[in-house]
Amino acid sequence: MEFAQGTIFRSKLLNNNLCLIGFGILAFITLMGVLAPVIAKNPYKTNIAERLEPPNLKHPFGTDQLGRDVYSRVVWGVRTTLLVALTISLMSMSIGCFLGAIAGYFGGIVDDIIGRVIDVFLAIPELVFNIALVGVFCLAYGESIWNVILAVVITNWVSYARIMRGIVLSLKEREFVLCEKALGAGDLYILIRHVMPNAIGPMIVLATLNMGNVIMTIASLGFLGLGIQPPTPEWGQMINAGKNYITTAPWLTFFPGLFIAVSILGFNLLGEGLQEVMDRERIVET
Amino acid sequence: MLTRREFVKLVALGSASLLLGCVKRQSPVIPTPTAKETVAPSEYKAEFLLGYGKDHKLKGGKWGIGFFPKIHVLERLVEYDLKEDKLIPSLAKKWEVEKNGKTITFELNRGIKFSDGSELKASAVKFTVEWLANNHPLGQETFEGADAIDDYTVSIYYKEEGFFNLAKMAEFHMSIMSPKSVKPENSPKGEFVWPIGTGCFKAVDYKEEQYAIYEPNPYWYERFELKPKFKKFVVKFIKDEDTRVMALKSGQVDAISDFVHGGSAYTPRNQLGILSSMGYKVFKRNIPLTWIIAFNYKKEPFNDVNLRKAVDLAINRDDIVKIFDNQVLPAKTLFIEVAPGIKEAKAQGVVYEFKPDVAKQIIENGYKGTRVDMIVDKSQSDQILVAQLIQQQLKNVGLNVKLEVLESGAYRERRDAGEYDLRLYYVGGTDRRFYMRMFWRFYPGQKWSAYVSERTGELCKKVLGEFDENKRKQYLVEFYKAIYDEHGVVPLYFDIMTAVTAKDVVADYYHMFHYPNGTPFGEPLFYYVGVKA
Repeated sequence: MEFAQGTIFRSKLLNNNLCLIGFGILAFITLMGVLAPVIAKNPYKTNIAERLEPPNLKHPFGTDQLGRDVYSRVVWGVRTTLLVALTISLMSMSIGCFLGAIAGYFGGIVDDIIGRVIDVFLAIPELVFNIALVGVFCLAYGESIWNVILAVVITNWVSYARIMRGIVLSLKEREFVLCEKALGAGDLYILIRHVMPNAIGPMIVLATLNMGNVIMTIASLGFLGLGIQPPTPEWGQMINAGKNYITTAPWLTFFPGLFIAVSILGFNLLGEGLQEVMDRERIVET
Repeated sequence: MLTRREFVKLVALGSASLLLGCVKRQSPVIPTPTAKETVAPSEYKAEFLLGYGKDHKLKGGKWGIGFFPKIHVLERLVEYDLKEDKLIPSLAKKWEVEKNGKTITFELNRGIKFSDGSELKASAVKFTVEWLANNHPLGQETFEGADAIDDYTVSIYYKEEGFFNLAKMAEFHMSIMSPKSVKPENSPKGEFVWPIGTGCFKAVDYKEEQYAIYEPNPYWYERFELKPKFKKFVVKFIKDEDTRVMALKSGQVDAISDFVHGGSAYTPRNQLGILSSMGYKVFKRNIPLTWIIAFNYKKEPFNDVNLRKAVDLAINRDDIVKIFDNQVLPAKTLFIEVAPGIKEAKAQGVVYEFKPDVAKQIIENGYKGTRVDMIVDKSQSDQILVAQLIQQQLKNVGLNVKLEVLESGAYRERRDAGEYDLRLYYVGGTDRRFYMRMFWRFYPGQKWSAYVSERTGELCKKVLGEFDENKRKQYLVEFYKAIYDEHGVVPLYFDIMTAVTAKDVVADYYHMFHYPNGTPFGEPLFYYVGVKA
């Protein structure tokens, strides 16, 4: 039965155009990242004789101020960006889901405390908060990629917690939960075994949609010089380094910008598609 | 409970306050000059706007006012001519050295006036020296005291002997100010209030970290028989280097210029070529300031001269300057060729070369797999580019460099704690700082040192102590040779001083880098610039 449901769900996904396009884009970009050592050159290799060359056959995306191949840096940048974004999303989702589930399930003072913390975090503009946090972490622990990851996780878990809380609030009144309670199952058991698995679908949709935001945040911090530091290739930082050449060497900013836009588009389309499929499922169920 | 009418009034009042708060702040009203009116010819705009990276500290600070007002508002007893390696007259027309430099007696030029109309007399020099001796770090370590022999003759007493005392008198910090600059007036321990000097500008308004406003000093223009091309010179402090360039491009300022201290807050050299191609006028002057690789030579692995040599030979300086569209020159000697002793040292083979094969061999014979840390200050985009190139050049010979681009504060902490192996640094400065920075970078026991060994330290002492030009040159040549032999530092490129102006700015190279009487200045001067109306 479960197998049949899975097959139906998969076929619905495959029939959803948004899902397919989003998945196609992301698969292509991810594949580029995975195959970076094969399809791209050394992103650190400088060649001053070839500096600021426009796109040509040898350098399809042109070269930068140090004569490095922009194509190679963009392709290697896929790895940096996706790995960091994925780490942030997984960490945020874990923290957010855990706190949201506790707040929703137990209610009372636990819900009040977590709810107010969520409100406080939501009241602060995310990017401004991120900038401040990265600055503080840099001063306290020195420059590290973990500064960016931690700063974004701290601001990003909130959306997961808020949604999770709402879902758990409705799930805990459902018959299967009440039935388990009547059978004497413990709260933690019910929460982990019955409530969270039923809430994970919307969380995955949220995570997919949120990946776009995370990529944007990483790029923004990189652009402001607060994110991943040179010479590591990262799209936002590449745009920052190329911004002064926007009139004379626009390829320095265009290609990293294009990859940021396309990867965000990919995650958004996939997320929208997943949401559409799940919404239809829910309508059918009711 | 509020009535509807009261509520509407309250909302209106609140909105009005908000709107007022948002209105752009108007420039402060500038007082009319009290002395002779200096009228800018009508073909020029009344106001000249300059974008600058550092606050001018017109109300004073630990090191006094900023360097820009020190050369525009104040003047010094002497100036330094790098080409001739000579101190030349400025406020003082001549001087006499006694007791091997422990006493120097200066005779002042007559008829020079401060911007408040009072005449420059020996008492003002005596006051400045005494005030510096009481309040300024450099004054405290330099001066013993001063005596006004007559109205125009002053003797200055120094703590140590040596030529360095005279050379220091051309330094920014030794600029002469009116006794009215402090409160109570003429008190050597008085609190600094406002700079009053004999220079081309008169400071009229200032807001910390925001702006400084100057007016032409009519007495200075009269002295040099010139007419200013503006009524008001406004300097906006724009800390971020890219923002300064953008301010110029967007027309918010008429010009941007380097922090004359050198080494920071300058127009990125990698932007000069682009700005020039866009039609902006780039005024640049070679100065004896050289960017170097500084080693943490007191600890492993760079306590080994061989590894330092390998780094030196692995650096392709011609490639480095290409990052800057060749706007700067590769440093194949420690300083630019006009600096004293450089030509002679070059003739003796003191030339830094690019020999990657030799470097590779040294690394393979004892340092294979060595990994070193290089720290870079994030606020300087030029240095981030140079560091990345150096990282690759060293990788090419087998030395792995971990690059750490740090916030300025974190960079300073790491530097001061000695937690690095390599870093980018600079030696020398604008012309007037040639000997001063030699002291700070190479004299034993200095905080901002670049490299000191027994041999180089001794030679540095000899250079700074020697009054005889020829002997001093000889010591300098030996000093350059010692630094070269010990690979104490690795020169990368010779820096410049720049001013970049908009297309409608009237300016010329001569006036930008010379006083009207022909005295060369390493720093850009703005007394003869204007914006076409």
